[in-house]
Amino acid sequence: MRICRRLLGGSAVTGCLVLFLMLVINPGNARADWLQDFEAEAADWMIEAGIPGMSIAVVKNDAVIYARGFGHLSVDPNSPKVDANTIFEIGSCTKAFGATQLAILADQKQLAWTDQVHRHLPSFKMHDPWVNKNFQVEDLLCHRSGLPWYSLFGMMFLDYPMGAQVRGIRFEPPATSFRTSFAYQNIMYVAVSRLIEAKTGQSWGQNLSEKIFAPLGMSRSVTTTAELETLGNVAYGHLLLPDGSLSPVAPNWANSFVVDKSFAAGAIRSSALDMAQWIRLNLALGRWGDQQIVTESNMRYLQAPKVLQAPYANGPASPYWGAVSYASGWQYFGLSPQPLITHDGTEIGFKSSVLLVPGANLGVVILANIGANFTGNSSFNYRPGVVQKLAFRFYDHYFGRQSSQVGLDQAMSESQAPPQWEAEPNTPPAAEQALARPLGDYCGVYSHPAFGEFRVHQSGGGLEIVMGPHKIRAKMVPTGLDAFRAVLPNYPETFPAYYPFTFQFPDSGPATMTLGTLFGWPQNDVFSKVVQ
Amino acid sequence: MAEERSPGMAIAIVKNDVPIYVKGFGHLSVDPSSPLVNEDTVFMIGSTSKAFASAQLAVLADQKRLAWTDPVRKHLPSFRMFDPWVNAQMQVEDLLCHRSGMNRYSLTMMEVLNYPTGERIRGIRFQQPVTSFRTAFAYQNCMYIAAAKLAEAVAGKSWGESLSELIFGPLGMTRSVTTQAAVDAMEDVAPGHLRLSDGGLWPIPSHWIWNTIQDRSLAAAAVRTTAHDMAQWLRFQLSPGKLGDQQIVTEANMRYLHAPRVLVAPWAHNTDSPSWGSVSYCCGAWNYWGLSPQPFLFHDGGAMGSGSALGLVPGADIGIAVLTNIEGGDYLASKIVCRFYDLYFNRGTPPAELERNLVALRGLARPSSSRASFPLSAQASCRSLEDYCGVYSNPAYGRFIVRQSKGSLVITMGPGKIRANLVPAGPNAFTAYLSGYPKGYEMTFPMEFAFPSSGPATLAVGPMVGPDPKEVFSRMDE
Repeated sequence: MRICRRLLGGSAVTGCLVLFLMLVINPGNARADWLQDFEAEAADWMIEAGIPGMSIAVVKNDAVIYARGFGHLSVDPNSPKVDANTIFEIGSCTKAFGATQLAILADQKQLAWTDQVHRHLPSFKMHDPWVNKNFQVEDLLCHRSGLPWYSLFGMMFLDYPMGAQVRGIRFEPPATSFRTSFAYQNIMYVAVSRLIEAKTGQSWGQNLSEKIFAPLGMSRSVTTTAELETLGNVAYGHLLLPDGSLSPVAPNWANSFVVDKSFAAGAIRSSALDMAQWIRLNLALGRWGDQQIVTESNMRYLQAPKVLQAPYANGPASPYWGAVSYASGWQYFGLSPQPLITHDGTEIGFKSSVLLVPGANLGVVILANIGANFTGNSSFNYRPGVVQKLAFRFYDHYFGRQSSQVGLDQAMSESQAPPQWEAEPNTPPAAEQALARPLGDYCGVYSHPAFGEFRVHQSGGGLEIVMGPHKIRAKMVPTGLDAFRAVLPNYPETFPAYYPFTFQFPDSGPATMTLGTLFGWPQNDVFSKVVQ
Repeated sequence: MAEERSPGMAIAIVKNDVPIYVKGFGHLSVDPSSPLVNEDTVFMIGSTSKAFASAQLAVLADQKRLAWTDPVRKHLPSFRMFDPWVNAQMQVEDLLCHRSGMNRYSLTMMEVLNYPTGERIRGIRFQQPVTSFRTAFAYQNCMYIAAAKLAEAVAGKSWGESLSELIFGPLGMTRSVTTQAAVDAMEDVAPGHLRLSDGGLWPIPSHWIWNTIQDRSLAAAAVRTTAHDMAQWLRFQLSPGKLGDQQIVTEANMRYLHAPRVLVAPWAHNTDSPSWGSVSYCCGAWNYWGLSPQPFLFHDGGAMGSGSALGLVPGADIGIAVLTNIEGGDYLASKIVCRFYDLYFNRGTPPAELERNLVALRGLARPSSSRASFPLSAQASCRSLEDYCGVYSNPAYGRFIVRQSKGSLVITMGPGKIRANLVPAGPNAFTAYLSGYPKGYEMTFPMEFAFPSSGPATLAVGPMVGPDPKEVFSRMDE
């Protein structure tokens, strides 16, 4: 594999060369049946789910034994073909990188897992003073903060800088007792990025490039749209629309800042071959050739289960028996015949999955350019979901297990969706909704301690809201008495990218504006009207 | 069994809801003329009692009489944690998975000095945390005593009565009890055996003064049971929660009890070993081993002169219980349970590696030796005996009184007024020898006095086990 690594280049041509060489290097190594079966299933499922492009790499015993692209960069059949070097957004598979950066700092004794976060990052503050005092570095990584699921999820969609997002944490009251329950967050991984910056004096992305991408030869892995623009062979994202069609978006489209602003929660763009190197590092427990990039004990620590997500992935009678826990940037499935470690990534236009079987020294990455289903049409769930299911099917094929679709779906849902998730209703709002009040009554400046001031004003016979540090303007479409959807700009018209706001006018005190469910995740942020 | 010199042993194996193997080995006691052990022989099981309390609380949770996330103090007002925030947040499930933040084996000395259960719960409030709440695994008995008292409060009857009613009765565990008095009324009982320094074994008599220690440990260690009854218990655990047509605990709550909650060790062993897999502790008082080819639920239990271990493989619907009556028999039973897993799945774990894993794991969970030894030295203490005399007080333990008697020192400890002779062991240091133990089996505490230039003299007792901190007592003014 050392040869292949040196050959890793920036173009599709080199990618093909690598694959060609790999076959030459291992002439007698006809792909095992299980891998052929997996490949055939992957190709079928991709077509069935209408995924434009997909890239897969497999690592076994520290060697990349398979790497291949499927389909096209975009839904346009004339676009170039995907190969093993094609760049995709990997979404939340980024989180394990952020955790590993912290492990390197822990190895260097610059911090300890049990250090209080505020000691290293004074701007980090939790709402509850005791929790704030006791909040440890490891608490950032395993989603047990006590905050509601996806707290402050709205900030990255409005282009808030890292510091403002982290500062917002202090205003979010807890929903469960600290460290008792799993509630997935992006915001805590934004804080991880901030912590890395504070300890290294580098930007999060610079540190990642220096400490992980460069030593591993991940030359086609970046963390910003700007860097992406310098690279070729980049897949388009595809937004899943309510009618089932896909809307392609270029890597540098108007809303690509959302990915940039997720930092260690989800900002990496990478290729299957680059991710294969990352898998090698994880399976080798931090060893890279002669170098120990992360100590073995800290790699083991990251992969160990910390917080229970579901007591069983499925019934004990099913092959999916086993508890699901969150580790640090990874999920741990206590499956038979081997525990597995995995994470998936969801972006507006992409879906990804990484799966490791440490006991078999085996791993797979699957990257695809179909986005999450936010449309509210549950029959679409299988389309992006195919990517994660394929990762589990990979495990099945290797071990000769048979999993039913039902079993797979259940394993996915029990490990992923909390009870709070509500798909947005599919129906677009009626153009003319009766409002309780004249438009002028809603106008004014509304303030929230984390989000700052949003301004509602009349524009073109309707309402418009101006949000966030970059003053993003959104048209407010009435959806009921005192209720509106602020439709985010530059998304396809039918894509449900909007902020639902409900106004209230109490007898005493200022009017309020409450942010509702965002991309399926209930937010409970209340803005109060600023008295002029 | 022969290697570890356990006089008796009993094993139960359940597969697919059927006890496929239930058998006794050896004799009730070291006396070869004593009756043979059989499937109905009663053994002390020690800490494998804990899972019973969890199941008992699960019945109460199913009946909506408590919730896992209820604050403990809502049901048990006498329960208090040192840190006020932790006290307010401490939930029922926190009692069960050893993440309280207290030092492991806190208040163990109360166990040995036979404190009443109320005192042992009261002592919790004085234990300062050593790790941040809910971040680290630290094994406790006192929390399971609190769990038993909580079950009592919710059920409105004694812990043992409630356990009989909610678990033993429905499972047909007719020879399972929680008190020495109940054991005394039974036939076919395997007494525990202490190992004496001369190599002999001492069968614990039924009237022994220290037998109440086991009773007072309640859910932490008080169950006495048989291989036959354990087979029923294994069926219930594996079904999960059912016996025959009767759902005794809901499946959801059984799953909850079998799920990993607190990380004990990232890996049981290396990734290239067949023992690969992380170890966590579950609220059902099980260690969850992420082994290949199936996750494994395991617990061991040590009692005075006895030891047991249980293993469940839910994915293969198989389980085993091993009961012994030798001091340290928990280690013997653990080895057998782990070997069982290996043999069932045809894993070739070398015995040496098995031992290494067990030792490593137990090192995390418990001290290497259950008795602290303090090197005896002929060195004379540096003060006159009178200087050490007085009343020493500790908020959790109350008063220890040091007096002169017949030219040496005697200490009287705790509410049970347990007396021990103090034998000099160094400058200001003594070893306290508890009475009532057989010759060749010393139960000792290290004790050290200090005389600071300002403030009262202090007496540091312990540690009882491993590296745990000493309990410090201050001399009271006369």
